[in-house]
Order: sequence, then structure tokens, then C-alpha cells
Amino acid sequence: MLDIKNLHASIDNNKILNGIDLEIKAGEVHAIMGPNGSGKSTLASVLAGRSEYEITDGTVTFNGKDLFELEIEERAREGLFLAFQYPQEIPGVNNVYLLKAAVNAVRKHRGLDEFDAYDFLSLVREKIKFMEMDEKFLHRGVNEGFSGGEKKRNEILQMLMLEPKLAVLDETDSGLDIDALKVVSKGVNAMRSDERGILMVTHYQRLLDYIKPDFVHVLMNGKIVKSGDHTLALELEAKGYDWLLDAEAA
Amino acid sequence: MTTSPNNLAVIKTGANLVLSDLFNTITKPTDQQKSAFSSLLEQGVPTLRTERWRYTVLRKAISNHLKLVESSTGELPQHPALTNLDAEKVTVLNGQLHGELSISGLELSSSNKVSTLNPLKHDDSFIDNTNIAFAQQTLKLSISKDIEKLVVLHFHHTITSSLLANRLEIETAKNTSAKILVLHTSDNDLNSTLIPVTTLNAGANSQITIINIQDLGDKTFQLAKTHAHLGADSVFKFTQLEIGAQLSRHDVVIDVLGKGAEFIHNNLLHGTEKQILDTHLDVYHHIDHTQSTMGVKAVLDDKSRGIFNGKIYVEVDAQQVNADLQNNNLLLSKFAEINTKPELEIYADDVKCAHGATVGQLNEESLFYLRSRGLDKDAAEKVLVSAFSRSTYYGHVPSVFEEWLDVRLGFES
Repeated sequence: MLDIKNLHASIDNNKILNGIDLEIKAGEVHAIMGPNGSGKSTLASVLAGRSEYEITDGTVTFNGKDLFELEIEERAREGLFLAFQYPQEIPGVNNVYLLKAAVNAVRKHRGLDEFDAYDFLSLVREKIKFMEMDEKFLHRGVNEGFSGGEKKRNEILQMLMLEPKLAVLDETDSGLDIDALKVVSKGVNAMRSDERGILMVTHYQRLLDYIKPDFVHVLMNGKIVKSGDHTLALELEAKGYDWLLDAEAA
Repeated sequence: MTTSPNNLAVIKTGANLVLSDLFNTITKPTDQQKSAFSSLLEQGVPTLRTERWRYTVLRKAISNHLKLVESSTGELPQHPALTNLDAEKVTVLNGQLHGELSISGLELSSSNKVSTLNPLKHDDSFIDNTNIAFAQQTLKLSISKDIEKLVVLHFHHTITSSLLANRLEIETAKNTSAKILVLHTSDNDLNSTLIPVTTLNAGANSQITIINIQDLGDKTFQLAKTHAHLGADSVFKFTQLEIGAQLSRHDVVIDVLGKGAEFIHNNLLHGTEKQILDTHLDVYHHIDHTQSTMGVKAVLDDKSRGIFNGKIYVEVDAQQVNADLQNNNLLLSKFAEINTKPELEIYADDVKCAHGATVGQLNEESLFYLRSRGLDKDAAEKVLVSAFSRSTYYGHVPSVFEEWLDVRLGFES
């Protein structure tokens, strides 16, 4: 589904990613962990198409297509979803309006009819209830005045509505209290399926108690230095990252 | 030189000559017209040198092809948003009133006598004097009861190369309320100059809303003024939408005169191509315990220019005044331009006043967010521009006008 080969990226001539190789197959959940500044969020941003990063080498194939040939919105329509680390507040744009425009853009791309208003609303109501959010959030500006936890829930709500093929969650757990973390995890777990890949970028092991990944990768200095199953996360929790740095140097 | 040899400005600039020649074509000017005209000559047409906020060349609006309107002809306009609007409507076509208002508590009459509001701290402006000198008639709208139905005055102009001064004087008795929509339109390609003045004398405890929509043709010039006196506990809500015209200058002067009075203002300057949209707003708080809230936005694309000068003035004894003036501007092209100056002039010491201005482009991060959800670039830009603009008219105009504006401004097809 997603095949990253030898990916190098830089911003303002600073090399951030230094040769990442990663393959995500349908049905798999991958977690990328790493210390601050290791390039985790850069990887998520590059996948979503943020323009300030320069791709200096490597390829990314998404469902057989060259990802870098696709515009930001085309990636979204092809089924790539990025849950933002810091979701943008957009005053004056109704949350429900954005949801509807987004869902219909994706449906149109897939050759499906646009939702009629009734079907759409019943679906949103079902999902918003599942995310334990108040319906009033639908009629507020996108993320406008939302708390940190509300913003993250809203990201997951969008994901549930858009049903992406690959979901990239950028530090979706950071800044959440335990209740919000549980709800967000519930949302992500509901999305696990044989047809869908999930890539979680996280700084904290705690998230992985709630969403058990199939693979864990450690990113340091823009490279994956170690991969393993979910027990690797526990090892990192106990030992920190330094031992990997030492191992790499040795 | 036909007139006023003691005034050098008259001799120097062609615009004054044009006005002199035009005035000479009026067969029997009233004393009011004559006196306004002589004040006008003393002042001369303002220039970049004499104006307080000097970015608009007003004499462009006074060109030598202009003639006065002699007889009114033309077909009554059909405006798409007005057809389905439940309202009491009249049309003023080329200065001529068509139709009548038949509601009790509301009287609309036409007169050749002008009543001006005392300018108080404000100078009688060039626009006032030109309007009075050239107004053929004055429409007087008196409100003596609560009027629940929306009242619409549609000013439409179809005569090429003409100068026309419409004058509307509104008076509300105490304890009354009314909502008035004034729509200014003209044919596209109409190279005329319109000088509309609206005055409002709001009685004590009256609640009045005026929605002023300027959607003139793309070659038309407008020099407009709105002047209001607000009595005690009155509330004046003024929504101003400047969309059309080649050049539109609108002076808004508000004298807050009675305790407890409040002024609420929303303004949108929406410019495309080479439009010039200029608003000068002066709010005078003459007395204590009064309020004003002003939100002025400009959305400027192509080579359009916006000019805004807003001033809150608080008189020395006007304590406990609450006033807020915000001007936010969105530039959509690298050739678009805004010149803005919000000001405070405060002589009282126990007041709460704020003012601010922002100028920006579309937020890149917001665009990225919307596109990452599948909206294409054009759609994402439209969403952001409409979100910025709509706050000036959503909830402030009738819903058919909300829809019409969405289409007119290109947010919906």
C-alpha cells in the first residue's frame, strides 16, 4: 500500500530525513517512535505533501502511484489521511461544512454520488456520538476555540468520516488526558481493518497500550535504526533511546 | 471663469469648472442649492493635498462629459434578490420615485427642501455640498411606529454621462423601530457619477437598521455620505457593503448624542479588477455612557485598492464610553493594495476604546489543512475568502441577500 524507499528530505538545506525505508501493507498498524527532532513529524508532513520540505532523494509509492506526483488534495482523495499534530483553527468555516465538502470530494473521486443531506447528517451524528463529542461542535468553526483534546477528537472524527486507505497519525496522543486518549484510541481501533494501513507517529509509548501496533520502528537522525514488534516499545519505555544511539555508533 | 474669482482653486482645477458649468444648467436653483454651491466653490473638489487621508483622487469622478439628468426614462429594474423578498419596496429610477409605501407608521414623501443635520464637530463636506447643490428632490422617510416589515429603497441609474444626487432623509420618532435596505445599482458600462446622501435622525430609544448595498456598474463613480444623529438609548445598526463601482467613496459620520445610544457597524469593501473603494468613518461620542462597535473588512483582488480611515472621537465629558474599531484586510493578489488608518482621539479619561488593523494574505496553513482533506486549491481558497467576508453580511442582511451575495461575490455558483 505504502512503499517508502531511501527517502531523503530537507528543509532550508537542513537534512531531516536521511534514507528511510518502510513498507506498510494493508491491514498493518505501524508505529514510529523516536526522540524529539528525529524527523518523525517531517515524515508525516512529507507524506501529506507539505511544500516547505524538499525531497532530495528516494521514492514513495502509494497504491501503485508515485506519491510525489500527486497534489495535496489528490493524495487525500486517493485515500491518504493525515491527523495533524496541531490541527488548524479556521474561524468562519463550519465544521460540518468542511466534513461534507471533504467527504463529497473523496466520494466524487471514487466515482460515488455525493451524499444527500439526510444520509450525511445521520452518518455524522453516529460518528460524533462514537467520538463522545457534543453535536454543537458540528456548527462551530473548524477547531475554533476547541481544547487540545477536542481538536484531536475532531481529527479522528474526520478520519472516521473519510474512511482513508492509509491513516497517518502525527502525535495524535500528545497533550491528551487519559479519557481523551481512550476515546481517540477507540476511534483509531475502530478503523483497523484488513483493507487499511495505519501509521502512528508518537513520542510516547502510552498510546501503544491502547492501540497495539504490529510493527514498531525507531527513528533517529532521520533514519530507522531499529524495527520490531510491539515489545520494542516496552523496551524503549524502560531503557530510553540512548542505548540505540550507542548501538548505532558501535 | 464663470464664478467665484476670489477662489484660486476654482481656476486651477478642471473639476471645479465642470461643477460650475453643471450648476449653471439648473434653471431655477433654490436658495439652499445656491448656498451649498457657493460653499462648494469655496472648498473646491478635495485633492490629495487637502484630504485628511489622501489616497483617492476624487476629481476623477467629476469629468467634463457629465450632464444633469433632465428627464427620467428607462425601465424599472428587476433585481434577483428583491423579487422574492417579503418587503415594502419602492424604486428610485434615475432620481424619480416609483411606487409608494403603504404601511401605517411610515411616510415617504418627496420634497424640494433639504434638511441638514448639524455637522457639529465635523466639517460640512464636499459630498454634502455637492449633493445639496445638485439634488433635484429630497426623499423624506418618517417612521412614527414600529415597522416590522423590511423597507427597501432601490436606487437604480441608467442614464449615461450624468451626474445625479439622490438624497434620503430618515427620521425615526422615539420608541420606534425599523429595518431599511438601500440598494444602489446602475447599468454596467454606465460612466455616470452618483452622489447619494443619507441622513438619519434617530429619536430616543428608537432601533434602526440600515443595510446599504452599493453594487453599481463597473464604470460608475459614487461619492456617498451617510450621516446620523443618535438620540438617547437609540441603537443604529449600519451594514455597508461596497461591491460595485469603478470608484466609490463613502463618508460615514455618526454623532452619538444621547446617553445610552449605540452604533453597530459592519462594512465590507470587496474589490476586483481596478476598483477603488474608499470609506471614511468618523464616530463622535459627544456624551457619556455610549457605545460603538465597528468591524470593517476589505477583500481585495487583482489591482483593486481599498482605502479606510476610521476615527473614534470621544469628547471631554463623555465618560464611560465603550468603543471598538477593527479593520481587517485580506489581499488576494500582489497588485492589490490597502491604505488603512484607524484612529482614536480621546479627551475623556474613563473610557474603554480599542482600535486595530490587520493586513494579510490567505493563511497557508489553513489552505494546507483544507487541501489535505480533499478540497482542491480553488475550493479551499474560496472557503477561506468566504469565511472571512461572510461575517460582514451573514445574519445582517435578509437571507435571500445572503444567498445573492454568496453568488455575486463568487463563493457559490
